[in-house]
Amino acid sequence: MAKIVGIDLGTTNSVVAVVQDGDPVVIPTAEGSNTCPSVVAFTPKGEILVGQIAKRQAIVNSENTIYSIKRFIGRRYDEVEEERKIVSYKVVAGPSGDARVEVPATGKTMPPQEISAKVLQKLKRDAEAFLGEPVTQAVITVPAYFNDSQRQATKDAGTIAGLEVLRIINEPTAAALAYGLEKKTNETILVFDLGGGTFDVSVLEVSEGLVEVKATNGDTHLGGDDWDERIVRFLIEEFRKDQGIDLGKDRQALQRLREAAEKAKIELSSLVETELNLPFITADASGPKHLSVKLTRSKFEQMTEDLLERCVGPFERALNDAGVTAGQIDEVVLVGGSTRMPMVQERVRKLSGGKEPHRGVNPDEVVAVGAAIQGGVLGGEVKDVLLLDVTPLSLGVETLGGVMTRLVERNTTIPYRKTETFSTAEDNQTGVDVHVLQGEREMASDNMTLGKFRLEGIASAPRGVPQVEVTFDIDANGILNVSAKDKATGKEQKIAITASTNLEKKDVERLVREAQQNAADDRRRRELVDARNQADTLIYQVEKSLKALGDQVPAADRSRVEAQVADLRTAIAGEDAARIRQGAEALQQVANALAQQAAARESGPGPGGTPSGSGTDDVVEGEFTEA
Amino acid sequence: MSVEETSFPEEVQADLAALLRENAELKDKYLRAAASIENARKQAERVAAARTQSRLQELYLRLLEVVDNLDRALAYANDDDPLAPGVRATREQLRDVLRREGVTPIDLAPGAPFDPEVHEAVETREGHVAEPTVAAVGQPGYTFEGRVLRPARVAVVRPPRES
Repeated sequence: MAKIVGIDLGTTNSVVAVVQDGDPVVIPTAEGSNTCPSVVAFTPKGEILVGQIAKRQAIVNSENTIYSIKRFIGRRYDEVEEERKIVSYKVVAGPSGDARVEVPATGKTMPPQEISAKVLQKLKRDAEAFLGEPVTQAVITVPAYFNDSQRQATKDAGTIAGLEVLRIINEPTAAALAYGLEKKTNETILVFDLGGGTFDVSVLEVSEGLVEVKATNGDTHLGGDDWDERIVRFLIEEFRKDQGIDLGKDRQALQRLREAAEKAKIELSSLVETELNLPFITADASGPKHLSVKLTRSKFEQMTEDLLERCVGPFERALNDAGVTAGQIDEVVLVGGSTRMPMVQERVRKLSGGKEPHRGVNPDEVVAVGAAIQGGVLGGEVKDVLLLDVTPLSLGVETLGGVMTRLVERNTTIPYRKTETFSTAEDNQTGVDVHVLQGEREMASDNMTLGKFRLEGIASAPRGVPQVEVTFDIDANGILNVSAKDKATGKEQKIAITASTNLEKKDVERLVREAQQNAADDRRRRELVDARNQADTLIYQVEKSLKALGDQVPAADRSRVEAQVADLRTAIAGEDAARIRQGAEALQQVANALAQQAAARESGPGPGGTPSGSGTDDVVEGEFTEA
Repeated sequence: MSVEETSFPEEVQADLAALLRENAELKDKYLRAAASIENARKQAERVAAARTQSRLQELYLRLLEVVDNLDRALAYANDDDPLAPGVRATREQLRDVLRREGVTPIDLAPGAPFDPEVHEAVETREGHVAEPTVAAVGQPGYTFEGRVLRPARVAVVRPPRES
């Protein structure tokens, strides 16, 4: 069956996606990029160029290069006075007062839908090349504020491009679909869309599969490009102060500045400082000049504060119009590449009452992905998917030192089975406690207990020798079976836990958040336990070999080793992981020397039990706590 | 001897039919599941390959900026500058590394017709030409595996506008 594609027909860029084998996939353009500039050019030779290529020749052929056509589609000439002044091509009135584009190269005026159709045609062609089959049907998105005329014109553009437009859906709705939020009952969703050149904020209400736009607001001339421009201005100013040269007049230099500015903006989303290096940016009589400027995130945030401030008004008006307060927002969805900036995320969080936004879908592609999912539903593609459950939280057992050793990571698709081998922590330990845990924290006591049982009858042996296989088996219904089996005796004990997957989403979110907040502390505590366990194992082995070697060890060496052991014991009793590790290293060296001397004296293999490099047994991945 | 239809009681027959049906369904489901694992594996491979490819391209683009700056340095160097031959050798070394990777410069000289497939216009002026023509190359372009990795950045002379 032919695929139904989803198209985000944007003001600056367009994206096409499709559901393949149940998963949405963004289709790359023939040029190899996931987004296609919404630019169409008509050359004097009669060629029609679309996308990246049209953009590259824009300044050579500015009056025939049409961009931002979305600002004119389905609108009357007298409605677009402001927009008309900004573009480099000519907008004229059509016979019925509609806005049209004059294209000198063709000697004609064209309705905007014909221009948009060229973009759609290219996306259709690229999708056909990608899928290897004809594409005839599509779902296309429009801004929530589009009126009937704008929607109809967008649909007409599809028809002209040879696409049957099965649905026109709202961009914020598509974004919500991409996160599966239509399945919610009675929730309020906030969609914050900050693109390259436009800003939209929408409040949606969802109930039983129905998504309704309650209110929408925005700023049609605010976007990431404004943030870039601030950096460019900053660079020009810095260079002028430093060298007395105005780079703003040099086209080639300006181009480099713009690229560097965008790169710096992106880098400052993950780094707190970046360096802009543009060697040989220009030259004067004294020779070549270089630009090298450091920009910190806080400086960047400071110089774009007013841009961020412009998001607040529309945000509050949208909430007001929808009749909801910030506290009533249940879900937040971010759309548009500019929402990657930490300052934007921070502000959205603040404005929406501290709600964490959804993550995971690329914000540049989330609208097209949602449209593709809608197409998939219409085509029956999505229905067919076998819905497999996942474990909402990690599962594991408590091991030596009160830490949780995970056997099943969170979000693992079930049914699932995992076996790990553990051992004992004490000599002659005949039973182990299996403490089954659920949660994301490092320490057992911070997680939830799902069940406990004890395996008895382990054959008496030195610590680390018995092998106890612990198996976690979750069936398709989410029932968790935990079993522990002593390999030597075949003795087995098990438990069935039914309530491992049916957690409230809110609880899961809270637990995951808590784990993130405590991550640094938890890691420190875990490191301390790990260091203690390793040191303890080392002491055990050293003492064992001291005993085995007996009189072969000279008294002086013996007392040196014993002093190191005593030192390490003191360190273990303390809270300093680094000190424990240092002590363990020192002891390890002494022990190695001891083992070598013993081996030399023996001139053959020494008695077993000499400490090895790592000091741990192969099969022991963790050790149970003593009961 | 006449063959009785079967000697099983009716409900056993019904059970058997149901089980056979279920068995066929399960077998089908199993095969589908196995196939979907295989498909997921292939998909993951494709995704991994595409990711490697795009990371490589990002790296090439960053290295090309270094080549550009060496180009610029050489453009400013005097003939008798003792550093120039060393800088030139360094640039060739870096170009060679990229060439071996398949990063090929786009052949272009002033006077060539402007072609937006491989050129990006950053400056333009009117002049006595019949069609848009490359006047100067600001920054050379490169291809990788038959695709434009980066268009050449050029200044273009275009024919005068008809009034």
